[in-house]
Amino acid sequence: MKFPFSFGRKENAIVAGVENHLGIVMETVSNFAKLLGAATAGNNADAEKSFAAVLTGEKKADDVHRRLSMEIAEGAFFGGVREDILDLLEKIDNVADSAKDASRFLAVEGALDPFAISLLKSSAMSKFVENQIGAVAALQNLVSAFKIGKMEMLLRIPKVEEFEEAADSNKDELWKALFKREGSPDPVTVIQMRDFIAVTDDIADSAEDASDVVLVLVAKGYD
Amino acid sequence: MIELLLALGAILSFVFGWNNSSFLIGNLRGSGTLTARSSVLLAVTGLLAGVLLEGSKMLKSLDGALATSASAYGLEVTFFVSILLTIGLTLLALPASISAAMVGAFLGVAVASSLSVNQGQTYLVITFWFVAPVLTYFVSLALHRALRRLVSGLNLVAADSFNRVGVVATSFAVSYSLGANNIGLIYGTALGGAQNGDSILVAIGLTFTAIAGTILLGKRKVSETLGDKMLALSPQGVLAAFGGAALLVWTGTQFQVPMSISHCILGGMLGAAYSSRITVINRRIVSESLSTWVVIPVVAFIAAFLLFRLSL
Repeated sequence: MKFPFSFGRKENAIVAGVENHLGIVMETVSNFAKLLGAATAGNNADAEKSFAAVLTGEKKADDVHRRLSMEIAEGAFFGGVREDILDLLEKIDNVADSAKDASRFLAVEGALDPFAISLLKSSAMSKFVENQIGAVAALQNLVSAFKIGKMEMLLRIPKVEEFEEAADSNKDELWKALFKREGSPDPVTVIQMRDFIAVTDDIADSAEDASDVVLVLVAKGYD
Repeated sequence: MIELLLALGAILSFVFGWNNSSFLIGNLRGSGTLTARSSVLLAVTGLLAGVLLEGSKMLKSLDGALATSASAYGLEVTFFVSILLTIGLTLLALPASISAAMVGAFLGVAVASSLSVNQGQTYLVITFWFVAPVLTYFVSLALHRALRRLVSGLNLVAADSFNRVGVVATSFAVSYSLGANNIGLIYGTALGGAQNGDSILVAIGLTFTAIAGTILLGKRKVSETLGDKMLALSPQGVLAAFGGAALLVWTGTQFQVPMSISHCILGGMLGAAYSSRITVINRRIVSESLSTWVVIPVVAFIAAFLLFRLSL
């Protein structure tokens, strides 16, 4: 339902900006997934290209985040809600930061050893990354409900959490496989993979944090 | 003598602006809906519209309705006691009721000078004081439910716009009702219940004096006492409480009853809180505010009675 006031022109532009920001973040996370595929396939050229795309995407997301924050600080939205929109942008930006940090592990590693490749190619890892992407997609879907209404927003909030919880289960599975250390892997590889999994998991965690902020927004704006 | 009454009226208007700053501009500034300048402009417009359009209804609400033929000295004592009491309560960050202080002080003077007190109007005023917050409770409860239903169908930006337009509308309504009732009361008392050619200038002067009090000394302390310390309300809850309170103050004006908006807002906030099922309420703040309802007119009555008698 549309409200017959042009009062919300600035706010509508900011909501469109948040969607755009999230679109860039989603693209960054997708490029991270492409980097993972290329790195495990030993395709260095594609891996480099995807890594560069992740860095560019993260930088672009930072710029959009900064611009939107300035616009909000100049006076948009009701007092209280304003701080939450800023918080939401920060959490969305954390998603891109996590994708960049996880990508660095793969890019810095260069030629991955067989233990790392087998873990990165495992079905648990595929599901883990799919659920990270799913959480961000669910967040996109949630933010698009800003234009619909309270009930739709409330319905979409748990979807982000569902993906985050599924990713957590995948993470447990991956850690079990990691610490089994089948084939006596290099301890450095084990530490690197452990950190890679933890940083990658921050993608879904940040998406879930963002959905929590949306819940606060609903509570404040709608009573 | 009229000069002294006008001077005392101006001082009380200034204190009124100081004490009521949270009601006049607090919501607009707190929500970030309008700039400081626009908030003040809206408050001036509301107060002026109220006092110019309906302030005359309060001209005889003390001298004329509660008792007749009060002396100029009696009205000066009424102002003096009201000013002292209001300043004291404002410094303690308590919502002081100027109307309750003026009614109490005027009745003290009337009894001390053996004037015939209109018991019917006195009972009406006292009854209104106790009934109005209860009525505001129910009006705000109904209004809050209606607003919640309306806003729940809106998208986030529309809901946000609604809240901000609502804050502007209710702030104007509050300023209007305060202008008509409270500034109207001060204006009527300062003129001794009689309009003359300069009445409009007096009304405008008192309004700007009140706004000067809001700009120079206004702080958020009183609104924090009522809003933040007592309970936490959503934007729609605040709109319902302030809208309901403005309606009841306006209703009081139609019956020449000097009203306290803080009393009505207290009832309105409790109504909106009940509608939201907020159960955590700071009972100390509520009881402090409730006790001032009784304490202010009684203290004002005694102080004015003694001052009038002792100075004769």
